[in-house]
Amino acid sequence: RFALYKAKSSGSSQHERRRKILEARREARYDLIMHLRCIEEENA
Amino acid sequence: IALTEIPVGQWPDLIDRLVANVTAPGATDMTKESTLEAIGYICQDIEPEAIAAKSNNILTAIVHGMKRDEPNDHVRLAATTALLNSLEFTRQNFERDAERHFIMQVVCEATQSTNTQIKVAALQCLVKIMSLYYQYMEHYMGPALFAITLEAMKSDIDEVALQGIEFWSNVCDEEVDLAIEASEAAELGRPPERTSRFYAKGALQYLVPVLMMTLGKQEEADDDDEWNPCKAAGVCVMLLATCTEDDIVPHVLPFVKENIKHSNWRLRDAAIMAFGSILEGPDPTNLKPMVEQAMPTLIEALSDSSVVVRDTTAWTLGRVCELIPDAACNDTYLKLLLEALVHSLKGEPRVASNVCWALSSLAEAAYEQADTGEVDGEPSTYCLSAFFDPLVDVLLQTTDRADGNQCNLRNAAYEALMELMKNSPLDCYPTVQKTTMIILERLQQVLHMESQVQSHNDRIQVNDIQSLLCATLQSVLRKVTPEDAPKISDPIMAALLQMFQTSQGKSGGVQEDALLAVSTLVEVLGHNFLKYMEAFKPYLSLGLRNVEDFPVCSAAVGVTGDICRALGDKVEPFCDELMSMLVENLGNNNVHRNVKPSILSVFGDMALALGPKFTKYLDVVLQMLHQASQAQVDRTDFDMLDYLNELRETCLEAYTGIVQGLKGDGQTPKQEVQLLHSHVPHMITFITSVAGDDEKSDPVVASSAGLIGDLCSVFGADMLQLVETDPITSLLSQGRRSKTSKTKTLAMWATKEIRRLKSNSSW
Repeated sequence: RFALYKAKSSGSSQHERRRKILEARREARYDLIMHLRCIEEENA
Repeated sequence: IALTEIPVGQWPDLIDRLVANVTAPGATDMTKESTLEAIGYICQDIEPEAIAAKSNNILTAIVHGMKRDEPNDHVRLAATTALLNSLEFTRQNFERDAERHFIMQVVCEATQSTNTQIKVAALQCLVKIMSLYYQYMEHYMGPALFAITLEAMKSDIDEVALQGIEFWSNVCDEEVDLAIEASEAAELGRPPERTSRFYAKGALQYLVPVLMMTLGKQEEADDDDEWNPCKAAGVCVMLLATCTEDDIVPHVLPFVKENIKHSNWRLRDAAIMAFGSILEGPDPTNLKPMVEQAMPTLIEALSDSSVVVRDTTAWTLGRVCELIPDAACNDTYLKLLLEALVHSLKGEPRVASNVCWALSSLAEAAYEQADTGEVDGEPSTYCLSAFFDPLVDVLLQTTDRADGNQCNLRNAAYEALMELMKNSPLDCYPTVQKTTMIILERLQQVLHMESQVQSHNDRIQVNDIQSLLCATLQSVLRKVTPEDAPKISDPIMAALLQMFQTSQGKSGGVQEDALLAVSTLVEVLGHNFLKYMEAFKPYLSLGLRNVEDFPVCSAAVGVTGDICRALGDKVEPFCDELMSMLVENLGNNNVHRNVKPSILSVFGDMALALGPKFTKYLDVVLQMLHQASQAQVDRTDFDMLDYLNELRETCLEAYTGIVQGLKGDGQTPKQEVQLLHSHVPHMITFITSVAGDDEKSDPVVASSAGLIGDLCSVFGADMLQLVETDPITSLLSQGRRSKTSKTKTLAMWATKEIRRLKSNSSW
């Protein structure tokens, strides 16, 4: 509950930045693999 | 001693002897109190299953000590505290009507004690009982619990009032969960296991007036770290709004209207706090006219004579920008609002910090509202464009304020700056360029300050600033165009390298943020990052070897994967060394377990980058994946189940990377992929065991489907007998029904691949 109240005056933290980078990385990996799979599907 | 011995079956008569201590006719008060305290301590820390069989005896002793006619308050308090600690493993007793009635009667009686400590402990029991045994509370809510807790909320004793408020906050938490359960059950076309009794909705008319009164009991000099009924009431109103949605508005609005301009600052503040607290939960469309109507008053309240009111107003405007953005981003109020916010940015740190947060929300909302013209394209302009440059200017000034270390102000100002950069349209690009250079200059300045650091406080401040500058650098770099990136990368990389050099052995936070900044630079530069590899390699190695500071190690592992994806086969000269460190970390028990899944993902990245040249690492990597794929965890621990899912997902990612890498991107699969042939049965066994796990996550289903499709497309008809099994068919069917488009796409693709093989083989 205190954390909910404290949200009143706190910005996002290193933890949040870390999470965003991980998300971006996951997406990049997925896009790369999907790109390869699409080529394969087209070839097929 | 009991905590050590009871779980392994030793000291079997302990609980019986403790119970006898309390219930024996001649027991002294001192013996009873000490024994109940001992029972309480044991119950507090022991694994519930180790003692559940003794719950009847324990309750007998506790209830004996809690009775209304117990003359000694010390005994009664120790018994009530022991009950609080034993509630988790008395489920069986709560399931039996007669026993539950008796426990509830004793607890309710204890809430009426004139001794504050007993009263508070008994109220704490009610709070916990409400969470644990909500389904059994209907019988007691109307006749007892409602009146007891409402009375407690009105108490002048803070500890008592806090428990009364906490009870209703817990009711809201519980009923929000039940609403989610109900909607999930409805989607699946079955009735929910437990249903809400809507106590919060029913009690609104009685709770809201008491909460409004409590909101007006602000401390004169607020200590930010002190929890008090006023703050608890604010949170309770927020939870009530989430739980009861539109229903709360007519109960709160009259209080807001009546007091928002009151001569007493406490009432003005309470009104604005109440208003801000109900913005999340009710339908935004219904709230919008009300918020628009309040905007002029809120903007005016930013200049209130009371700093508390100014603080709460800045927070409320932040909530407006976040939750009802259309009420702020419009021709009528935007300019006025921005002028008022910029003016308040120069005020007290607590106010300015909330203003920064409001500006962050505004930037995000404005960008979302902007017209992108085409799908996924960047908007050419947005409603903040005309104010963008001065806003950035004033935020940069705020980051430099001498009192920036108070109330998180410096952080909040940098965060707002980052949000503005991230959410900037094309016509603001010149300011993004200018800001990039300013951040770079600041980074160089702060690196020069390294030699002047004397005190511990200086060190903390310099580290904080370095971290924030790295983070800001990430957000500006993401906006820099591919043409501009190589023009500015040399000084940026030089500054980051210098930061690695000076930060060795110091704060891990700075090193982590610097590594995250390198990740962004790699992402932006692509293969152009190659020229920095020789200079960066020693620091990457130090990061990978920094097993004591796992976020640093984890960030270094992440950068390694990014570099593989960006450089492709040009990463080859560095791979022997990188691979040896990654493998060493996987086998090292001192490496934090959270680092290990990301190492597995990097194996996939490296295989994709090297293609057939990955074969030299194949044996060792497949052996590692084989081990990791067989990992099991304590299934009663939710964190460990999450971890298992992450580990499995990254194993599957690694297998996928290896299959795709060895296969190559040509029309015919490369010969090297056949090296995997003998490992295919293990991959399928792994997927089959994953398929049979009821706790598997959606991303695990997606990655499993992806790997099934890859194996089918590479190994052809041989795969049919392996994949046409009940567990795999059911996994793919679950994937096709997923709400996540990624999982759905992959499951459909894998199904199509299997069908293709079947139709080919039938010819």
